[in-house]
Amino acid sequence: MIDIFLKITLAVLLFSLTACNMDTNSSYYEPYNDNSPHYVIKDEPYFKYAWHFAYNKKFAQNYNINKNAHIDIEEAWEITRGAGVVVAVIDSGSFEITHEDLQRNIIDTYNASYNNKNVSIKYDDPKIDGHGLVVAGLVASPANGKGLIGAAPEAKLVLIQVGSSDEATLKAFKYAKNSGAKIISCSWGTRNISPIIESYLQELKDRGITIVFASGNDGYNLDYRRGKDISELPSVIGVGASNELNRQATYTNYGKNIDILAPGGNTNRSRGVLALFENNSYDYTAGTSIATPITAGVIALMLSVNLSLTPDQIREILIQSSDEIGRYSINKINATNAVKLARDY
Amino acid sequence: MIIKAISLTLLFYTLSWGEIYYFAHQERVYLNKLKEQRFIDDDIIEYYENQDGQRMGVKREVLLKCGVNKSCQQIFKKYNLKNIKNITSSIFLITVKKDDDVFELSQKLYLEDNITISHPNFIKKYQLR
Repeated sequence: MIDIFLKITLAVLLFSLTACNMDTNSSYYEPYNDNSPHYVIKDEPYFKYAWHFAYNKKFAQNYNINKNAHIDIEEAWEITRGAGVVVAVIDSGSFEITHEDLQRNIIDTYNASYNNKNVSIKYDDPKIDGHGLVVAGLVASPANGKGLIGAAPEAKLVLIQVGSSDEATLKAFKYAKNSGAKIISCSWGTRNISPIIESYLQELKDRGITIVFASGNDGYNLDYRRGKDISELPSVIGVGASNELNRQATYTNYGKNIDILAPGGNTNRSRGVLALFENNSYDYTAGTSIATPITAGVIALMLSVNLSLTPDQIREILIQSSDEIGRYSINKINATNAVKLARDY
Repeated sequence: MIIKAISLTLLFYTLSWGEIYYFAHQERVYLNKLKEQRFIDDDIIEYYENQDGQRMGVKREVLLKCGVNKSCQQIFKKYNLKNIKNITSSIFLITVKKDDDVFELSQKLYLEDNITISHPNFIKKYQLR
């Protein structure tokens, strides 16, 4: 009788534990048990829509997408997919860490405002909610037979939700550094940079961490704006956006301190870049927020073949290996050229 | 007459910014206090704007950075600063006592030899891009 009672108790306990793990609304990070099979890129059902990565004739013709609008990444993936590199994504928008096409590559999370692991706080603002998820997926959505793929599908992610105080911002970057990230991707910005933040970004660069920042979506030539945007700092790589016509996007901010362009898409929805959306969904989106994680992913590929590269060398390689597309002398990233040059550097 | 009027306007404009400032890159950044206040966790956040119209909240905290291989402990003692938190090995967060002025303290600390950066712990709105 006692034996049966014990068995029932154990069964109830096991069921409760399983139910807890299956809670897809859980906002706290739990390590993912990765015993899934190895998928290849052609298994990704939405890869055909990823014009930012590769040319798909049928899709390109239907949506008037230039055949060279992509970043030439397929050959780079034959060399590396970013294994062994950790990328930190710092974002003030929420992450959906249980998304089917992201969870596998998350190794840690941190909320710098509340000093805990919860990075899925919702704000009931569609402009903010899910922003972190979108950018994290573009860096390292895994090849898992679901949805799409990030630029570095075998890189690992540390997802960090930043706060609005200088203290929380410092803590976010410090956590990224301590987590072993070699790249920090930031799809946000400000023109009101506190000196202590600027100084810490320089310190991280001096320690070999490459930080990428989005240039912004106002269409400004930043050279003629008062003050400095965070994406223009010498300690970071400033990223602007190209569009589906393989031109510099009209909305992107640009200037002599913006280093490189990457696909950010068109604000016309179907010509945006396909990304992860909330509740295990996918949709098109656009902006320099999109170009930045794609660049971070390419840098992860570069570091995966040559971990000794410094942030300045990475900037130099990105520019040297890029494709000329625009009239403002900022070129578009070419992933295959960049990875090959990084490997032989 | 016109020059006088312009000069007076400029003078009035400059004076209107008062003495609320912090140091950035060895220059004073003047701020104008706004009427807005917010309460977060029993703490009053007061809002200011700089001459470019950028808004920022100010907590009763100062962030400072000690120079490379310098110690700031003597300075903390000199100003009787007790509530000090390490953010990194060289960056500290100091909670300002109720009777002290956060800008005044950050200005005094900035002028100390071993301190390279000192300003209030600002709250700023980041733009998602």
